[in-house]
Amino acid sequence: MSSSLLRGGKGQAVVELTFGFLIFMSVFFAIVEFSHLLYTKVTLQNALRSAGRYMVTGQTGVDGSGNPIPRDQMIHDVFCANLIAVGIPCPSGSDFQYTCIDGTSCPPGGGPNQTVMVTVNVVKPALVPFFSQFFPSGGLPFQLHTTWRNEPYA
Amino acid sequence: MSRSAVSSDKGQTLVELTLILPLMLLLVYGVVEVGSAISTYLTLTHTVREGANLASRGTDPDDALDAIIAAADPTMGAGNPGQWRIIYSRIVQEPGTPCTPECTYIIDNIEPNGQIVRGALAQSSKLGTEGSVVNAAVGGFNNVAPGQTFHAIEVFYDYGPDVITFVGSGFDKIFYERAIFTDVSGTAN
Repeated sequence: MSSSLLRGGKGQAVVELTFGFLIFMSVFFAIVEFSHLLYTKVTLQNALRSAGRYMVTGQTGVDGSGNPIPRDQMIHDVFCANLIAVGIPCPSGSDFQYTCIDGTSCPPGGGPNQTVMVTVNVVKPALVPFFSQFFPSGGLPFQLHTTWRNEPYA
Repeated sequence: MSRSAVSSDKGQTLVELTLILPLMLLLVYGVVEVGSAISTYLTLTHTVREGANLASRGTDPDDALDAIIAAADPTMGAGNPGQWRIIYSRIVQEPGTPCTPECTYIIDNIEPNGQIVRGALAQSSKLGTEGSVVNAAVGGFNNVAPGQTFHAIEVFYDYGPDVITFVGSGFDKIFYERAIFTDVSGTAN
């Protein structure tokens, strides 16, 4: 075998490795990305469930100076406190919608004994920026719901 | 090395790639598909728990079903009624039957407390039909104190796509989940 043929074989192996490595890494990161999407879905749902559980108690909060915090702000804060490692910034209060399913007027969080559906819209950016280009909004949109009946608080 | 041997090596690489690539793609597809199935199952679990929780706390069962179906869209919604079925059942102690010492619990058939069915998937409740004793396979109801009321939500979901059938016909494509919550009053009303 001539020396030029040997060099050609080594080069071929490097090229194959390059292509193979790129494909392998793409598959690997796709699996990681998809796993994180599932994790995010479960975590978001749990966060909203926690917020809903807080909502039904009718509680409000106070800040460090003793000033009252409105109930809807507290519901929002409980949700954000449970966003753990999902890579999503805390949504604004306007991203929360409250719907009383009996058709009555519905203040944020609802009133005593009202059944309230809370809806939140968030967008989850991809872990790997390369994948974000496939989503028009820069990430995968999530719309979450939870429905609770408020307790008969005073 | 002869020229023919070199040519043979090149062909071998191509054959290996041809064999490996479908396996790799199948692996990726399998990961995505199993993930999707788990995600769907979590949605069903969340749906039945939320519905049973609402009904047990006094929300009208019809309204509760409306709410949980809206929340489960697009997994379950108006767009695919043939793919799912949700059944609400109210479980009460059989009227006029004393506990000796075990109580008998039935699916309430007194209007307006009968079973409520949504969705068009051809499935029937695993708890039982209206007026019947709760299916013994459910278990636990022989130990329940007298006079309790329960709210049960069952969901059936026909999970596609057909790749599951391809993997194995023993895999049940119809997902089933239920939640049974005690009425907060603790007594029949």
